[in-house]
Parts: sequence; structure tokens; C-alpha cells
Amino acid sequence: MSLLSTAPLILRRRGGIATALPIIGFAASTGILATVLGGLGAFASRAAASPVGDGPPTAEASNLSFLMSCAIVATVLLVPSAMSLGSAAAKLSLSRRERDLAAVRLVGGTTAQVGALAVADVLAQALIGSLIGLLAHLAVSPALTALDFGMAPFSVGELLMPLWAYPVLVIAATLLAGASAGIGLAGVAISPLGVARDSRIVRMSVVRLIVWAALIVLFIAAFQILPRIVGGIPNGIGVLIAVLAILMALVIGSVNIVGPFVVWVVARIIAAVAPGPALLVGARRLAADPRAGWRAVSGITFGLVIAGFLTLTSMFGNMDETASERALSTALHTGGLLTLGIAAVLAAVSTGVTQTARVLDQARVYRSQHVAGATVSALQRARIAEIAIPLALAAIVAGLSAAGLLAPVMSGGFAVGAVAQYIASALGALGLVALSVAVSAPLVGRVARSDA
Amino acid sequence: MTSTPLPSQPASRPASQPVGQDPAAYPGARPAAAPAYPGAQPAVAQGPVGPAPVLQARALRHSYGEKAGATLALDGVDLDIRAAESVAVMGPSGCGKTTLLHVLAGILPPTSGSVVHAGASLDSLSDAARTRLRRTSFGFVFQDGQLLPELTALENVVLPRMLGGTSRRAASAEASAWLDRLGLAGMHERRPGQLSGGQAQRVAIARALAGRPSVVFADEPTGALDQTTGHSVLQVLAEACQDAGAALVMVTHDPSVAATCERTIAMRDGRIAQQFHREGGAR
Ligand SMILES: Nc1ncnc2c1ncn2[C@@H]1O[C@H](COP(=O)(O)OP(=O)(O)OP(=O)(O)O)[C@@H](O)[C@H]1O
Ligand SMILES: [Mg+2]
Repeated sequence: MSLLSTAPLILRRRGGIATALPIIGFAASTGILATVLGGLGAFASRAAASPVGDGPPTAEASNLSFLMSCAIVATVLLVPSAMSLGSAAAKLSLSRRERDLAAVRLVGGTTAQVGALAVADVLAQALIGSLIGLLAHLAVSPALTALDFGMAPFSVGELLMPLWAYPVLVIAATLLAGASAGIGLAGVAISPLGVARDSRIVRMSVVRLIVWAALIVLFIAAFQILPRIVGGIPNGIGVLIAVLAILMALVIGSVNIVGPFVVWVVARIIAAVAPGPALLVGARRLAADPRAGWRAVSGITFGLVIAGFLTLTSMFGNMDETASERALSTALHTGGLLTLGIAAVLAAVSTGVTQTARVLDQARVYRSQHVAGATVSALQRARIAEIAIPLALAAIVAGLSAAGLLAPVMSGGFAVGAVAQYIASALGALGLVALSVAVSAPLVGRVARSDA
Repeated sequence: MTSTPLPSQPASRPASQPVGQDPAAYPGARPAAAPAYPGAQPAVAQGPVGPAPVLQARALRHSYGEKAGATLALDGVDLDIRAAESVAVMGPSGCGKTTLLHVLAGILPPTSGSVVHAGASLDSLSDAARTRLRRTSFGFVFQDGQLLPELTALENVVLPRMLGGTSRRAASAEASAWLDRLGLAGMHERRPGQLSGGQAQRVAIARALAGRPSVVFADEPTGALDQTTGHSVLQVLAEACQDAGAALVMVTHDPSVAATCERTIAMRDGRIAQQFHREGGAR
């Protein structure tokens, strides 16, 4: 393992941003997981502590059990996207290293040694990122006690996870990162001459579209049929919410299945007819790697669908007559905004990180295009096309998904405010992407004009 | 643009003398204005009297880095490139060949000295204007990493023209003709990853020439190819440049490749040490 001892030598020199990006991703992912799970724990302990009498449950207790199901739903919505940010960070960290790893192969490292080196590198970054994320979680927890859930405010102690959970979370997040790096490595052969990626032409199956549509239909059907079935069961609304939440999570998950397919189809059409160079290059890049193109906006898409979901749950809040119902409504409102806020942070981090990473990945191409006479602003326009196409598609797919989720409620006559809320979220998403493009814009110029 | 296919055999070209007797000398070449002793600096490295130069470099110096520990990569280079002539740049590794090409093409600003193209000094131009100049007047064929991997061969050739404002339809028609002439008929829709190294370089040549440049810069364009493929690509490059009336400035380590150029410039330590004209070279 003398090779591993040389790792610091080979892997040390690397730009500041390149190292920082995956760590930021890991930190956001772990910090948000800890905060979400801690919050879930807080609701769980309140629900467990409330008196379970012999007679009918008290208003407070039934509120709590309902809130508990909502907290579970919020967790179901947020955890997958936080975890996917973690694995995206791992892939990013890996791609930053590919050239270094090829150099190690050239001086005689075996594939196994190089693989070990790569995974060790990702593990180290994930560990550092997770610890930073936990510090951030500890730092924001006091502020979260100010949130009004229509009951006695949570204490910092309640919002933190139990002590044993912290090392478990750090280890789990680190191992997850290592595992995604390992899986990522499997698709890439690192030869001494560089990275040979599978260069088959990408094809996307229409099955992706069918799965997504089928899940939406299933959800609508469940929404129509289930209320009649669960009507008689005590605590039926909790069961209803839970079942619908699972279907909802599946619809949300399937948005990431249909997304790359739609990007692939549309990008190929645009590439074939693009009248200008920016659209041509942007669309071709998307057609060549629709998954990467979609990943750049998937954080946003999650956020948009969550916004759609919250629009739906706000239907349940239209009943503030008694003090208890008012409390419930306040709790749902706060919880909804909190979920949306966390989704926005996830979306901002993942979009910012993927945009910056994409520029760094394309550095050589930008440089050679600039040498051949492409102005920096032409490069920027191609990049904007490359993000605008999936963003527009994301807004449509998320909008259609949300419309599917909302369709059952629409028939029951529903608030215009809800639609306004969704549109506001969509505009917020657009703003986030515009911001991430703007933030990474100076980098394009720097990379294009650098001495290669 | 006519679409007559280029002859694939070198036979129809004016015979350039094959490998010479003295392996140390640049084959098929004779010193022009022979320097009194090696390392003597010629007054101005220019060809025999002919048409006005498209590119004029005077007293070029370029150093990388700050004062302490700076590398002087160019140390006073004077060079004229005449319209449609072909010039090989040779010399040991690190002598400044790539730097010279980059400075001549306005990619790197020289530390001092000037490069004049079509009567305008490059350093008087803004960065945007220099970029435009590279697009409209220069073509580039470098060792690798220059085709966009996601675009088809045709789109790679079309792109610079579209950047210059030509419509996609018009640019595509021209680009198809170029690809056909370079022996790539039937491969227009392939991506670079689906082409051999030699085919990919021919796409790069088509791309460099489709913009009707006045100068094509090539930096070891066949460094990544095997010798046979490399030679046929260079043959194609030289002929295509001649056909298009573009001057060719090519860095190469291969003396037999340099022998196909009308002029060879030998560099050492950032200076032009010697230059040679091909026997029977174009006047
Ligand atoms: N970006 C750079 N920063 C610092 N020094 C550089 C840089 N690029 C080149 N140099 C130095 O400038 C000198 C000339 O380099 P250049 O690349 O022009 O050589 P070359 O003749 O093209 O060599 P080769 O045949 O190996 O390609 C070398 O000493 C090199 O070390
Ligand atoms: Mg060089």
C-alpha cells in the first residue's frame, strides 16, 4: 500500500472551488437530514408523551397524531432529495479526480489501487462535509425553536437527535457517499491515457413516460376511492394521508424518471432545427447526456413538486373554528413553509453546485472554443440554453405532476390562493436557477481565457 | 467552393525531395540567407520577395510568470508569413514553438513586440475583436480535444460559421462540401467518438478551413496519430490550405513532414536559429 501513502502527494494540488463543491454538497445533505430527522423525533416524542386515555382521544392528542403523519410525509418528501444531493456530491468529487487518477495509472497503479484511492478520497470529503453539516444543524436549531406549531414551542433539546444518532448519521452518510463513488467508478474505466467513458449513443425508453403517467393516474384513482373506504375507520384521515403520501412520493420520484426522457426527446428536436449556435450546442450537450442535464434542475423539480403537494395539504387547513383546529391550521402552515424552505435550500445548493461543476468539467472545451473564436458571451449563451431547456421542461413536468396531484381537489372547488402559491414557487425556482447561472458566469470567462 | 475530391496520392504535388542524406539536417531543405554561424539571428525571417505578408511579427518577446522565476519563452522573433505559403516550425521541446503560434494567433498577448495582421496590430484590438479575428481570419488544428464531442462531424464544422452569423442552412451546405472533399462522405452525422483519430483530425481540418481563413495554425496536428495516418492527414491539410489559398503555420517534430512545407523555421531558446526553403519551393 505504498501507493496509498503517496496519495497526499498526487491528490493534493487542486483548485479551491473544486475541493469546496463536493464538501458543500455533503454538508448540506447531512445538515438537512439531521434537521429533518431531529424535527420528526420532536413530533414523535410529543405524540408519545401526550396522555393516551381510555375514552375518546383529546383534541390535543388527535392533533398531534395528525401532525405526526404530516411530519412523516415531510420527511418522506425531503430525505430522498437530501440523499440524492449527497450522492451527486460523491459523483462530483470523483469526476474532479479523474485526471489525477489516470496519472496514477500511468505510473503503475493497478485498477484496484486507483479505485481504493478514489473511494478513500470521497470518504474523506464526505466525512469532512458531514461534520460541517452537523455543525450547521446545531447552529440553526436554536432558531427553529421560534417556529410556531400552535403548541408549546419545541426546545433545542427536543429538536436535536438523540446523541447516539449523530455518529450513526455521519457514518451512514459517509458510507453512502463511498458506495455511490464505488458504483460511479464501475461505469468508468480509468486507463493510463485518461478516462474512457462508455461512449455509446444514449437512448431513452418511452417506458419512463408511461411509468410517470401511470403513477399519476393511480394517485388520482386512490384519491377518489380511498376516502370512501377509510371513512369508517377511526383515525382514518391519518391512514388516508399516509397512503396518499406514499403515492405522492412515488409520483415525485417518477418525475426524475420521466425528466431525462423528455429532455432527450426535446433536445434532439431542438438540435436538429436550432437556427443559432448557442441553441445547437446547448441542445446537443443535453441530447448526449440527458441525465446530467436533468440533474442540473432536479433539485428545483423536487422543490416544485413539494410546493404542489403543500398546495394540496393546505386544503385540510380550511377549518379553523375551535382553538384546537386553529392550532392545527397554524402547525400545518408553519410546517408547510418549513418544508418548502428546506426544499429551496436543497434546490439552491444542488443547482449551484452542479452549475459550477459543469463549468469546471467543460473547462478544456470552453478554452478551445474561445481559442477558435467563440466569444465568452457566446459560450455563456450556450450554457444558458443548456440550462433553460431542462428548466422549462421541469416546470412543465412538475406543473403537470402537481396538476395531477391537484386534479381530485380541483373538482371540489378550491382556493385561487393555492394556485398563486404554486406560481410563486415556480418563479422562485426560476430565480434560483438564474442566480446559480449568474454566480458561475465569471468562472466561464476565467476558464476560457486561462492558459491551458 | 467546388467539391472536387482532393487527389489522395502525393504524386500530383510538386515533388518535394524525399528524406535527405544527412539525417541531422532538415531534409529536402537548403538554408536561405545562410547564417554565418549557428544561433546567428537573421534580420527578418521572411520568404523570398513575394506578395505582401498576411502576418508580420516584429521583435516578439514573451515571458510566462512574474519577474522572479519567469520563463522567457520568446526572445526576439521577427517573422513574416506570406499569403498562402506553408511554414513548418521545428525545434527542441520547450524552445517556444507553441508560444510563438499562440502569440501569432492573438491567443496570448506578447510581453513586447508586435504582430500585424492585414495592416492592424493585434495589440491595438480589444479582446472581443481579437476573438472575432480568430474566428474570421484564422483556423486552428491542434493535437486533440478540439472537436465538441456531443456534436456531429457536420455540426462541428458548421458551428464556427454559425458563430460568425452565417445561417445554418448555408453553413451546412459549405461544410458538407468540405467534409466530402476531405474523404468523409457518409460520415457527416457521426460524433467524434465514432470516428478514427485520422478522420477526427480531418473534421478539424474541415472546420479550420470552412471559415475561409487567411492563416491556418496547426500545433503538432498529428502528434496523437500513427505515422502513416499522420502523414496522410498532413498531406490533406497542406493541400486543402493550398486550395483554399490559406497560409499554413505548422509546428512539427517530424522532419519529413516539415519537408512538405515551403519553408522551415528552426527555433532554439525562444529565437529563430535558422530557416530553410524547400528545393524547388514556390517562389
Ligand atoms: N503556461 C505556462 N506557464 C509558464 N511557463 C510556460 C507556460 N507555457 C510554456 N511555458 C514555458 O515556456 C517555454 C516554451 O514553451 P512552449 O510550449 O512554447 O514550447 P514548445 O516549443 O511548444 O515545446 P514542445 O515541443 O514540448 O511542445 C518552456 O520553457 C515552457 O516551460
Ligand atoms: Mg508545444
